[in-house]
Amino acid sequence: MRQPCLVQGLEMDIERMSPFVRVSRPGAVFLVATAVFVCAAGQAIHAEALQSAAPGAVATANALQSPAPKALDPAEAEGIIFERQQIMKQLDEDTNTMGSIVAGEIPPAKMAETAHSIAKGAREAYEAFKQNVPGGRAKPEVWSNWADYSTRMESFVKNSEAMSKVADTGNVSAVTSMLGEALPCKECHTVYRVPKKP
Amino acid sequence: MLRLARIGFLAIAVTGVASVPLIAGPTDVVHMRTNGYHAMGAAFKATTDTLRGDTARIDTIRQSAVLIRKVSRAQYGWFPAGSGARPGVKTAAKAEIWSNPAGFRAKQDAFARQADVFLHAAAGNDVATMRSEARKLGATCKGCHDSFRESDD
Repeated sequence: MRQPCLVQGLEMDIERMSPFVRVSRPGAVFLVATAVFVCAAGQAIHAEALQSAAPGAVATANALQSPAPKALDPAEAEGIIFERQQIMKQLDEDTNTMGSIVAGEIPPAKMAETAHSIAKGAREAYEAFKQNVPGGRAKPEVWSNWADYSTRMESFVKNSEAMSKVADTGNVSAVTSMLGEALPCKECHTVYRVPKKP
Repeated sequence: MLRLARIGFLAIAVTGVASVPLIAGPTDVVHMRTNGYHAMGAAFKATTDTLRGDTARIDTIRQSAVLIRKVSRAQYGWFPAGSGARPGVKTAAKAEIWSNPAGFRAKQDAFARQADVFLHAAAGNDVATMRSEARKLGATCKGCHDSFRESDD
């Protein structure tokens, strides 16, 4: 007798099961129910992992867990927070410059330099948050939801690097078309940054 | 006569540099401290950039440490009364600098002390110590900014 699994058409042939299982019908029913549960649970876990990942990306096994927090002197910890605030401040300045360039407000002479600075900032920001030092305006979710956060940062690093290579060609239109993916600042801040105090 | 003029000019120049906070207008000292902090910020960035790299450039760190220490001393004269925010004067200095002078002085002192410690670390050859002391130096910057500097965003 073939008993179809309720999920994804997985089928099991009860007749080919271990003789032990075939001892009683309740046993067979229990086995089927367990298999159905395992299928469904696996589907749920997989769906949740996909949903928490950035669009088009799946979190790697290593990115699922946040880096272990370091035992640091409180002054050093504050220094790390300050350092990443400075990195973000530089990214903000570079983003504003890039915006002015693509808007035609300033000449594109510094487009490549600015794009490379953004790519550098993306890499440095990612490394800074890997140190797992809570504080500043970073929400605790940065590290409690590391799978999603790290996927977003990896995407930022990858796309800003790609933009910097295009910026080297001097093609302002091409760079403009890449800005949305290369500078996902607002989307991330909305989720992971504490709003500014009034 | 020309020789006396040269001596006089030199004396005025030296006196001027030392006493700008006393005789300069509020806008002048705002420009001075803005430029001074920008220069220090660039030096601190150069330090942290090289410390993040695979091979830290000790010469860069030492040059930066010297500049940072100079600023840590000069900044005591950068906040005379009347140099806060006002129409036509752009400054990130909060009013608390002048309403809480003891608190502000404590932060300046903490920065100056750590600038000395960092300079001493930079004179050595232990990069890990330089990194640690640079972070603590950043912490003194943050400690002052959190209370006495307007946020950038």
